[in-house]
Amino acid sequence: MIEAASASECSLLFFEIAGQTFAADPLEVVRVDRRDTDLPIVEIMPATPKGTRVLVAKTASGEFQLPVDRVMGVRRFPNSSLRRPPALALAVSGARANELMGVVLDGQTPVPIMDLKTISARAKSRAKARGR
Amino acid sequence: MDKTVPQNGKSKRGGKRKAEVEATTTAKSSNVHPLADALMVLERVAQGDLSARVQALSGDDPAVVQLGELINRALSRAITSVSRDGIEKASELLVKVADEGDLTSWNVTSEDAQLRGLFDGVGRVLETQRTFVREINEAALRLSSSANEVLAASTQHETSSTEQAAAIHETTATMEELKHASAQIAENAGSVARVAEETLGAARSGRTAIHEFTTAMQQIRSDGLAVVDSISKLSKRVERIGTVVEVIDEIADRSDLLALNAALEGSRAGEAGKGFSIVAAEMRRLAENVLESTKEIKNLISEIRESTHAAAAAAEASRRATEQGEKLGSVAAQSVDGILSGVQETSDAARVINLATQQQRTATEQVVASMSEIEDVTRQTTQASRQATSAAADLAQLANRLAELIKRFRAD
Repeated sequence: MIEAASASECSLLFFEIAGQTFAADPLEVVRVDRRDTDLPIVEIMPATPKGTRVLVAKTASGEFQLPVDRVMGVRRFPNSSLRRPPALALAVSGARANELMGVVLDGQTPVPIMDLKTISARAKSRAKARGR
Repeated sequence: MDKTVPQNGKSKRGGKRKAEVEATTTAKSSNVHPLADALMVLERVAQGDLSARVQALSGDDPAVVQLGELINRALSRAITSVSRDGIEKASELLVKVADEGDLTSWNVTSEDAQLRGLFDGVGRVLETQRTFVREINEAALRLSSSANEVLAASTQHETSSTEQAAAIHETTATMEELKHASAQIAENAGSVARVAEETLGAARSGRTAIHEFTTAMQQIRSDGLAVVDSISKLSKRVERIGTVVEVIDEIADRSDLLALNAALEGSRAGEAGKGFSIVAAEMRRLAENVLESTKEIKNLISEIRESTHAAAAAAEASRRATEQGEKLGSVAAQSVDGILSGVQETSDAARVINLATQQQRTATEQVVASMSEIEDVTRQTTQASRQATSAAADLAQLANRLAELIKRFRAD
């Protein structure tokens, strides 16, 4: 569920990993920070970002840092530009299906909207598995 | 001889008459007895005086007077006979003197006092001639000998003069060649002096150029040290700028983070945070601009650092090169100083040689001129010697001729 900025608009945080643009719900991001080695790292994509920025997300188990190459900022989009994630978009992004919230059309370009909570939960479950 | 010797009877009768007149005058004036006078005359005749005459031819005794006259006539005849004999003998001897040159045979005398005086005078003349002939003969012999000696000496002198003229001519020719050689040497020495002077000028220019080169090298080294110092300062300032840029970059990065987070906050605030989000976005754009700028600055700093390192390396290489150049310049200066010293000595020597050869050429020309004059004088001397030899030969011939002529006279 994307938080609506208004009745007809919504805000999305745009970031870039390995040359591919992604979006996320700003409400799922606690803050944008530099890479911090103290926080657990959760990779959004298989490719390892080379940038210094991380998106800090918070779950019940605590905060996680999700490395990105570049944070491009928060932008507003009309709700009409939101789409459900098509299979092609999943295939192109390489993301897991449950970690993709939808797609926003930035002009004619579809941009995947990532579910950071799900991604963080994936990290959490991995940690549990390692703990068992 | 002709004047003293009677040539005819008229002259003889004239002399006889004169003696009779003188005797008559003497006897008349003395008033002597004719006989006594006759005795006195005979006495004188006995003594060899045929000129005596009886003066007293007048008297009482005709026989005495006739005696006196006969005595006078006899004496006159006797005188005539004696005079004729003496004159003939004298004529024969004089002919012998004239034909044979015999001056030794004159022994003519006469009972006649007048002829005796004449013959004695001729004898003294011939004696004088004998003396002259002896002296002339001796002088002719000496003259001949001297003329031969003069001829020999003249011939020797002529030969010597000819040889001397040939030697002087040869010497003059040699001196002429020496003059040309001296002129050539002087010209070559002048060329050497000019080349040495030009070389000296070039060496001086080279020394000046090396001095300027060394000065330039020192200036370059000094400038290079200043450049190194400036590069070092520039490097430090660049590092300082880099530090500042890092700070600015850090601030910009933080500002970017703050703007991002502010935008996040604005989005969370919904419609109320819209303006906040716009400000945050603007701030973020500014931060990104700063980051872009600092990135460019970093790139520039990196380029400047690389250039500074390259400049420092180049300055170091330049310093080493200038030090090497200074050493080479010093070595070159010492070499050129040595060359200059040598060239200076060469130039001085060439100048001295040039001067000496000029003097030599002048002296040689003077010697050639003097030799030419000597040759002229020698030629004149040779000509004079030939003339003297010819004259001596003529003189010798004349002396021989004179001796031959004198030999015709027999003086001893």
